[in-house]
Amino acid sequence: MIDVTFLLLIFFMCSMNFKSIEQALGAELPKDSGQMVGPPPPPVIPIRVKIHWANARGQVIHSPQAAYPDGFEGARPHVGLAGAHVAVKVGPLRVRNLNELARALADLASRQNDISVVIDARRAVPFKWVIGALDACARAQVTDVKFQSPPAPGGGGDDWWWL
Amino acid sequence: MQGANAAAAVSQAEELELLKRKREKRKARRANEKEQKNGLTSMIDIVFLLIFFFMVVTDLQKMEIEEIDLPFAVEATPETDTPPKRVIVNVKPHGEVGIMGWTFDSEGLFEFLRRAAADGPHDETTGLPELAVKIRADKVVEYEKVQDVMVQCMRSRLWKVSFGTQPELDEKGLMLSPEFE
Repeated sequence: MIDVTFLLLIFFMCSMNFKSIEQALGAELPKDSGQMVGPPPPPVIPIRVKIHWANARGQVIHSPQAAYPDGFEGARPHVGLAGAHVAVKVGPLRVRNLNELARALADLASRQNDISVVIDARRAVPFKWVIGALDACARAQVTDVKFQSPPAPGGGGDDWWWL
Repeated sequence: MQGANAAAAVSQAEELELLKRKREKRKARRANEKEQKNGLTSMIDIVFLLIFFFMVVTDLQKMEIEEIDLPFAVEATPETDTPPKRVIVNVKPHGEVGIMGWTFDSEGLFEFLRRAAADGPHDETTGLPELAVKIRADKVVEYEKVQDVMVQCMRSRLWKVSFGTQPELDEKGLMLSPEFE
């Protein structure tokens, strides 16, 4: 009986310790800094990192299941879903993976003093790509990173910038 | 004869004495055994108490940190000094948003975060809430769901946001994520 209880005790203690150490990637959202004093700083044109689904021909699609989101209206050319994959762009430049993204951002950061990055990921993109892009910014030592806000409810905004 | 009788009486008396001693010894031994048994019971009590405590603690931890396959990151750092009070938002693979075992829709999440932010400490100069938020989202969840959590954080003026990640390499140093290839 004591054996069994000790066994249980040790089991629970061990199962607690087995939990792997979790890590975190800090992403502080912009603060509402109030009124500005003094001359405004020169505007920094942000670099857009676009993440979206694309088909084999490189056309932008909503997700591997649908070319357009639910309730999307308007005359659009037919877009196939074959070869759906997640595409990443830095401005107009297409990068193949996240390591290449980190290299491209590091290259831009070395040419310019302080660069600002906006991560603009589409709705149906898996979250790991967004974290990967944020991670790439951290690897390129870019500290000014923002996330594109979703389009206003009721449509509009720049939700379909690629079309 | 008398002497012999006397000797027999003495031996009888000795025998009686011996018997008495034996009885006493037996009694003492029994008492000892009883004491031992008493000690054992209390120990089992304590052990059960410990087991119960660990079971409860593990359950509580599970409630806050749900099982989620976190995305990989190279630059992430192990959490050493976690703030004493923070909200952990779990986003499950199908997009359910949970805090402490409860599931929220986006308005409910906003209400929860707004109250938590109001209850917590505020920065003296800016008046912004100091409460930290950790978003633990599954790596395959649609970004839309995580974006909504971030929007609700912004609406409730919470700005200390971090994302839960896991190390990019496994124990053998092998790359785990195909998107880094």
